[in-house]
Amino acid sequence: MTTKPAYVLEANNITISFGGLTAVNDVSLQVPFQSIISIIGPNGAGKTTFFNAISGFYSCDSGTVLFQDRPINGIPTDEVANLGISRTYQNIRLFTNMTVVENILIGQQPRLRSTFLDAILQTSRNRREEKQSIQKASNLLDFVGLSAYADDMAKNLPYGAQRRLEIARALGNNPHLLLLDEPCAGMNPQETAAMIELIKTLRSQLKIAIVLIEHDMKVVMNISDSILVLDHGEKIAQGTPEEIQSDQRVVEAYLGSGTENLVEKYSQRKAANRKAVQPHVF
Amino acid sequence: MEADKPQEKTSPKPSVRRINWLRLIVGILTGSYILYRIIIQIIRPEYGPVYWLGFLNTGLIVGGMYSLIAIGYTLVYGVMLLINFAHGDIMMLGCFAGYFTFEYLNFLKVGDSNFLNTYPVLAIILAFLIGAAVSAGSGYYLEKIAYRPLRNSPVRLAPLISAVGASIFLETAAQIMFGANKKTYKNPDLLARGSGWNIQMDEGMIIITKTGVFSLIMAVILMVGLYFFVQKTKLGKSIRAVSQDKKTAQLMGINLDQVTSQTFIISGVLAGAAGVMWGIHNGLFNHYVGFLPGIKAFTAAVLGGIGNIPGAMAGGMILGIVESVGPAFLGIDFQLKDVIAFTILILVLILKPSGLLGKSSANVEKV
Amino acid sequence: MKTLFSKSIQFGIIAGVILIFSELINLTSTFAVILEKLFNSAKTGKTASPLAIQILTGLVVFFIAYTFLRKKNGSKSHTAGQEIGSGLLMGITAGILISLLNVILGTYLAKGQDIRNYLDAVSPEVISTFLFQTDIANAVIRYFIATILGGLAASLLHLVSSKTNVSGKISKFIQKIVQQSKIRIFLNKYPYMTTILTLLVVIAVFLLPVLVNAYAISVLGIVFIYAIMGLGLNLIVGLSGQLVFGYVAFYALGAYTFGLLTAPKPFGIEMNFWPALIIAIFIAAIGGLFVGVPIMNLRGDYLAIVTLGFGEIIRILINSNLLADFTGGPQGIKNIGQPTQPALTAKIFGKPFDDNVWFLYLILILFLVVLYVVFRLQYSRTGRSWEAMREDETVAQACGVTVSSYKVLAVVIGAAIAGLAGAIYASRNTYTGPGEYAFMVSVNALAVVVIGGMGSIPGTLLGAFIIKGLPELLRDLENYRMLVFGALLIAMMIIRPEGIWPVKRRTLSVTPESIEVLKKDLKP
Ligand SMILES: Nc1ncnc2c1ncn2[C@@H]1O[C@H](COP(=O)(O)OP(=O)(O)OP(=O)(O)O)[C@@H](O)[C@H]1O
Ligand SMILES: [Mg+2]
Repeated sequence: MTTKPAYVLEANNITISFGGLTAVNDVSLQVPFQSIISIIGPNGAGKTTFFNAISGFYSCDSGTVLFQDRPINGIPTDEVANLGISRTYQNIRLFTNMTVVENILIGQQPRLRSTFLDAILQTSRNRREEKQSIQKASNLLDFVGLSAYADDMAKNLPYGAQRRLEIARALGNNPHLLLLDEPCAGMNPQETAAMIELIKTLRSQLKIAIVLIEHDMKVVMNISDSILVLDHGEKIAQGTPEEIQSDQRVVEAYLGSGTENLVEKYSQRKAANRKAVQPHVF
Repeated sequence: MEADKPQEKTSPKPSVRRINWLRLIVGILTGSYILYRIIIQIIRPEYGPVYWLGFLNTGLIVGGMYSLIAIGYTLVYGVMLLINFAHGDIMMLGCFAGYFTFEYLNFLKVGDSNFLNTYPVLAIILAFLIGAAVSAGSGYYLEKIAYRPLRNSPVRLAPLISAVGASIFLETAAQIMFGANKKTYKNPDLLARGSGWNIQMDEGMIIITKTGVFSLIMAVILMVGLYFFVQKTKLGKSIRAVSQDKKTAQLMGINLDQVTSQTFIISGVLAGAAGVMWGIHNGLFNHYVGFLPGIKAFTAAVLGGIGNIPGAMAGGMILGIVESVGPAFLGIDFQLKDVIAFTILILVLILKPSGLLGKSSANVEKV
Repeated sequence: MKTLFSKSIQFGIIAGVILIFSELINLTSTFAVILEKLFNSAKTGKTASPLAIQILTGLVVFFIAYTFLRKKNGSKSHTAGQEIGSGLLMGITAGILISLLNVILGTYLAKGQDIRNYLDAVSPEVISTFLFQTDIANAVIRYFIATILGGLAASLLHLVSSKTNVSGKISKFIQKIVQQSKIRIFLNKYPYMTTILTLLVVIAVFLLPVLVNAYAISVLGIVFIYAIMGLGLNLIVGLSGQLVFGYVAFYALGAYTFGLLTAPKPFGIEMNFWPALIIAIFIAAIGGLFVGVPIMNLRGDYLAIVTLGFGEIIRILINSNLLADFTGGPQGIKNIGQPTQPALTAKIFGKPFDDNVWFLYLILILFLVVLYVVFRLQYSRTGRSWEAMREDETVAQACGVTVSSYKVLAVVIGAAIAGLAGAIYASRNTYTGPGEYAFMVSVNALAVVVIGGMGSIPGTLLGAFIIKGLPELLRDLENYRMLVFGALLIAMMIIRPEGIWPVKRRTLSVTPESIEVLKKDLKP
């Protein structure tokens, strides 16, 4: 009899380096079912790299990634998607010259079975599947609130809608685990609030475990069950939002001593960083 | 049962490893066939050592030219990830330029004789300079007209298609303008084709032609020069920086447009020189002269690891040698030497797509 | 001010270089002759009249100058004097360059030297045509008149249009017409009209073979064969986003397989048309597998060169002594079989069709079959995966598209379709030889796809008509065909990369159901 594994995902002692730079150093993370876990850390801390390791983009130099007790490091990204891990990207990567519905249809790829022969011969399987998948895509669009854009080109969508579309596409393969890379980046407060709602619904209604990278501390503190703090590729703390806010070690090592309000400080620093990197925004 | 299910991971790195069956099978087949041929050659040699040396000689000479052209492919690929399909035609233009220079100098009277034979060294230098200049200029404008507007094209294939267009355009233009019939390079007497040194060996003799020696030396000089250029000069460093990481290089203040243009100029110079060498050594040529050397040089660049300059040099030499030794080694018709070159391309892509000197880790895209 | 004039000189030089280039390849006078024939059908002979050449020269300067004046307009406006000065300068610069060339050529002509050894296209007759059959001094004056008039006309037109904004109004007007065109509205109102129209077109196409003459039948045949090839290549280039340079290899594989199976020599199998056709398609598909598999894990660009190499291998092999016993070597294969007309047609239409008419019908039917297959594929899971791969290979794979197998699949199906086209071609000519499988064929096929619109099925058909049909009508320009294709490929990529007839996306969405369905659906 197979027992249900304790965690959706278990990453143990992951290390990844690029030449001389160790982007992720000995980081472990356990993701329980139906949990929301946030990863925070300054720019270049290795958050995205950690995601890439989980989703099969990079192979780890050492460490193991177990998806429901099954080692997945070293397998190509399409098989990772097939197993039920999907993700979004920090800089939005949609299929820009395809329509919104088509984007989601691509997301359903691992769950579809009809082959090119079915398509040519128009078998009943092909028709049924086509109909079902389009229906599912429309449902997903409705779920993320993008029904109005269904047949528009993905590139013509407004920014916030593109982020939602990425999530809808990621849901196409019925994932157990969803990795969101900065889902609220560049959004205004209303959009952010809506995104928080969406993420919460994902967990409560669709029972998906979510790991997200986010710089907006309000979001992180609001929705996370647990927070992982990375800096220079190292894990410097992990705990509940309350623990992280009061973790003296994090506060000191990370923001310098004499800090009362971590959230405030962190957000300020983040904003300063953003300005420094992209002066042309102003 | 606990005992049936060991919890401890024995291996420190239990990542899923897959065997690439295609690579394995093709590798074994190729390896064993080559081994078989070697044994055959040892047991029942068809050709004596003299012949082998002769093939080697031819291979080195052609290989030098391939290397020069391959460097151009590699440089451009490094800087803009584009297979510059028109590169062979740039070489063709250089070949024509050298031809016209020689023809002109042949008509130019100096005393009783003509310029070409009175000052042969000067004439050769002039031919190389003009050939290189014409190729460099056409490379420069090619990039400006056909590639630069497409750098941010929404269609990923656009630059490559544009490159095919440019190649066809140049080839047809040369054909209409200069005629389709083959022309003969008029070498100065100093480098008369066919003349050279005959080296007597026990069973026969090897002919080492002057043009061959000259071409090889010239190619080596140019390659060494290029190597130092890329390693030491500011421009060379910029080129290397752009090939590694375009964005960061730009942030560091490198002007991408400028570096791209200069890359095309450098690769044009090398291709032009190769074109003049081709003409001097082989004599016959027409507008089609760049096509085959072009794709073979690309093969050479892939063989050495595309984007890698020493790789392109080595790849060109190896391809030249394999191509001239191959037919004898495999015991097939010499007509089929081009088939060998392309077979190598396919084999390299299966067995070691990153090339001989390329980095073995697959270059993953940053997401 | 200074920059305006130095820029004007630059553009004048561009115009001059274009003029010189066109003269050296004798394009100007060829084109002039065609124009004259258009306006004056009585015109015969091959020499262009001075006036036509002058007008063309002036037009080139005019277009370059006008482009320049319109482009620089964005930065700042210039006075009328400056505009005219700029146009004048461009005219003079271009005039100097083209005159220089003619002075040089004229001197050679006067000395009686034939320079065709070096410049193949400029025969003495051509030179004298370009000298307007007069002496050098006279010709130079005429060239200057032409170029300066061209430059001035451009600046005047630009002045007038910028003052009254005519060009803006015209383009808006055209846009309005296009938008409001009745047909659009009509079609939108009655969607079934599209179907009826398509049916009408199909019927018209099917009536064509019996209506047109023998020459048109042969042209149509080649156009549709290229359309078939284009549909296949479109799968690879337009949908899956990989480039194939050596498409001719698969075409040749199909043709030779078919030829060997049906011809009396060398094997004497003399198989029937249909089984031979199917085997030919199959062999071409295997060829596709052969080049597809090595590159399946590599960037799309590699396929371009690998197929190019493969094309060369095939060409060399069929021409070589090694396989001469099988392929006929340079002689090729003769007496390739043709399909017999079913007795049914004779029964229905009273008498059997002529052979060429019947064959054109066959091509049309096969074309429709391929069209259907390609259409089905494009609007299916497979086609969408190809498109996703084209858009973003990395992300497509991360979404679960098994990129490598889809790549191979595209190449294999594309190759099979090329094999079909090759087999029909061989059967139609009852002959096949190595000379027919040059790189040019691949270029033509690529041009069909690119010009019509990558990924667009109707675009491919349109492309086939443009690439193979139009040159048949403009026979005089035959020599310049490849030149034009080359320039066209570049220009299309820069100006309109989506092609003349871009793809139209389909509306797929349906009304959503409740979230409960989704919850059940998403249960992993
Ligand atoms: N493919 C790669 N090659 C080389 N270096 C890389 C690569 N990917 C990431 N890096 C480096 O690894 C470090 C960590 O990058 P990563 O993108 O994971 O940071 P991050 O925490 O996501 O930062 P941000 O908040 O800016 O998204 C950076 O210094 C980055 O330059
Ligand atoms: Mg990141």
